[in-house]
Amino acid sequence: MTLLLPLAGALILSLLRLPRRVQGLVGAGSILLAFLSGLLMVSSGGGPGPYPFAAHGALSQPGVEVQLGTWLAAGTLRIPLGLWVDGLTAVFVLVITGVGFLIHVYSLGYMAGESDADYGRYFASMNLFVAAMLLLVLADSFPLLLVGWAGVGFTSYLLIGFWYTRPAAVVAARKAFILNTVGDVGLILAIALMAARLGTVDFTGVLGPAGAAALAAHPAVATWIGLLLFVAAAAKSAQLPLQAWLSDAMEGPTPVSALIHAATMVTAGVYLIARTQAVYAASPAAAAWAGDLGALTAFAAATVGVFSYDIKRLLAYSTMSQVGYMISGVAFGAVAAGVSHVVTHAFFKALLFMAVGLVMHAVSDERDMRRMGGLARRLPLARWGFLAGALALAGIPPFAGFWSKDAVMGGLLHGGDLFAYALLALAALLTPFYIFRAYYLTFGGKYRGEGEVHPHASRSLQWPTVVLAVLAVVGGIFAVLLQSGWGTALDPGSMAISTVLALIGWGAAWSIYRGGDIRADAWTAGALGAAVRSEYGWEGLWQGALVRPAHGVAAWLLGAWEGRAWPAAQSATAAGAAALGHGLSLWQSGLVRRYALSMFCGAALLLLWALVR
Amino acid sequence: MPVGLPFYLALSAVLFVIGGLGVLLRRDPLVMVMAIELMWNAANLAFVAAARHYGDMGGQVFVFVVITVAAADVAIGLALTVLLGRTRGTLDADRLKWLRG
Repeated sequence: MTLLLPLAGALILSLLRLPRRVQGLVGAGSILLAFLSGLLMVSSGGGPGPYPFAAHGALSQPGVEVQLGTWLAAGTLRIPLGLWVDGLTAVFVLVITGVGFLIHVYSLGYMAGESDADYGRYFASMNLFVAAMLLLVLADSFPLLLVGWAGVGFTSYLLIGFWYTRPAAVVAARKAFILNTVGDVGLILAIALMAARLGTVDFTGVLGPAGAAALAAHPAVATWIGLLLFVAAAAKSAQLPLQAWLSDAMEGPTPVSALIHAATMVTAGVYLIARTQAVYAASPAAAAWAGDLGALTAFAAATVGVFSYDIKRLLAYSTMSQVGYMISGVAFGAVAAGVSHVVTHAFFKALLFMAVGLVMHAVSDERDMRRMGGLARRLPLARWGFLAGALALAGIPPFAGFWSKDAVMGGLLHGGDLFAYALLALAALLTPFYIFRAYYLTFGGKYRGEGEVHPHASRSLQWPTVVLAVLAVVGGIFAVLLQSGWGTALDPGSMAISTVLALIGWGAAWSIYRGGDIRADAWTAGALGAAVRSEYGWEGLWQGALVRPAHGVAAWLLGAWEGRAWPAAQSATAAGAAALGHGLSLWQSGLVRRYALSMFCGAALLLLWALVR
Repeated sequence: MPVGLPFYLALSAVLFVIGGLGVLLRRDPLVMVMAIELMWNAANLAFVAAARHYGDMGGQVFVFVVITVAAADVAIGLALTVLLGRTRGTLDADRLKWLRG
């Protein structure tokens, strides 16, 4: 039910031509109903007692599988078609539909300027995205998960390129799609490896006791599966080395960035790794690769965030960084911490994007912080919303982010990977710095832009922002409940370290930027800043290693093949046909007697053939 | 020596070849029609000889069919010849080659 409602919404919106109000109603309403049915599912079905938030240890209960039939059966391999519900799924379903609903409501106001057809297209794509994401987390086998996996990649492509008349948006959409496809290939290869070596591709078979025993018996297989799954997760969650698409994806509408590129889709990688704990438990090597690359992403993206001018890109780097925390956490076995960070991050990052959306609406879609400033008084809601999100992101207690981010770091400290812990601690120092830099530059000081500031926020823009702001403040309660539900305890020592780090970062930002003066930011303008902003030349590396050779091959094909060889082949064919026709036309002499002779010869040959045979 | 089937078939073959050569070598459409007629009748001769030899009336029945078709053939051939002579003013088959490709 949860799954079908958004799908139905997408179908209705894409097939029928509806008036604008109905489009909005269907778009947001289907997600609300999905959220309610998700709540119902979690509180009634699913498992023992009202979970996930009540019974101690309920989250680690085995899942409930709803078999709908067999999708494919080939030889001994059977791919079931069914749904799988356990604590992990329940958390994701509620986040996807809950935050998704708020963002749909926000979109009602945010996209009001679009034409009727585009408005419907927008909500159809959004609903389709939610449906694909729900399929991803509800699937009971890896192939079915792949369907949702590719589905969110595709709808993300649709929504990044929503403004398809802007070249930058189209290029960004294509880039996101291509890099996501790399991840899809990783997932397909992982599935193939499971099918070949384990003989099964459903969750019960691979992740259950039998699968765990098989994986433990073949550590090399477990390592390969783990690495391939990490490739998939890295592409979807914008982790090194496949991170390059996320910052460009900010070309899409801001609510899209909030829903897909902050709250839900980029956390699909976290879900995948959390789901396949059995694989990573069997292969410490794969877990270390995934966790260390996640931690490296968390740190590297945070440094890029420090130097960003484009406020949406800054949030995108922040997302990469935070997802790096989650990946690192779940890869090193701190599942509860990583997943609770997914929840709180969905709250505060969606909130930050909504606040930025309000700002962009007011300053005619300006995204450069250097042309903002002084907006605190004009946009109080955006200001307070952004502040709440920033405090939560920075990990200042008692805001939401603190409880989950700290849990990740505490988990790593106990998991014993000090390299990853050090990177995450540095990132935790940088995070408050970059987000408060953005806060002071955007809302403090004097207005530096040229255009008029005209705040206009309809009610549908306002109340989701308020709800998420409240969640960003108190959402830590969910994180704590989740972790106790999973049976992990908080660690006071690590909490103290994190708090000190966050306060140092905030203090540094405050001492430099508190006046909101852009001159304080001069130090980011140099060559170092430019180098960091280009993601340490990563973009250039892709360009040099892949894009430019591909262009070269394309140009060669265009010139040598399309330009010369192919036309030559074409005219050779034409000339051959003409010559053949001319030769045959000599036969048509028009002489009756020659025709008669041909007939006689033919008849004689037939006769001869009949005799000889 | 009794005159048997092989003699009739040999005569039929000779007549057929003479007719065929007539079609191929003569250039007058009227003569070509006559030569075709000769070929028809060579076939007819073979038919009736075989019918007689095997005591089967099928061959004779077929000859009637052939005679009918040959009559239609002659009618069309003569009509074409007359029309060609009138409209083109010549009865040389080799000069009537405006269907040349």
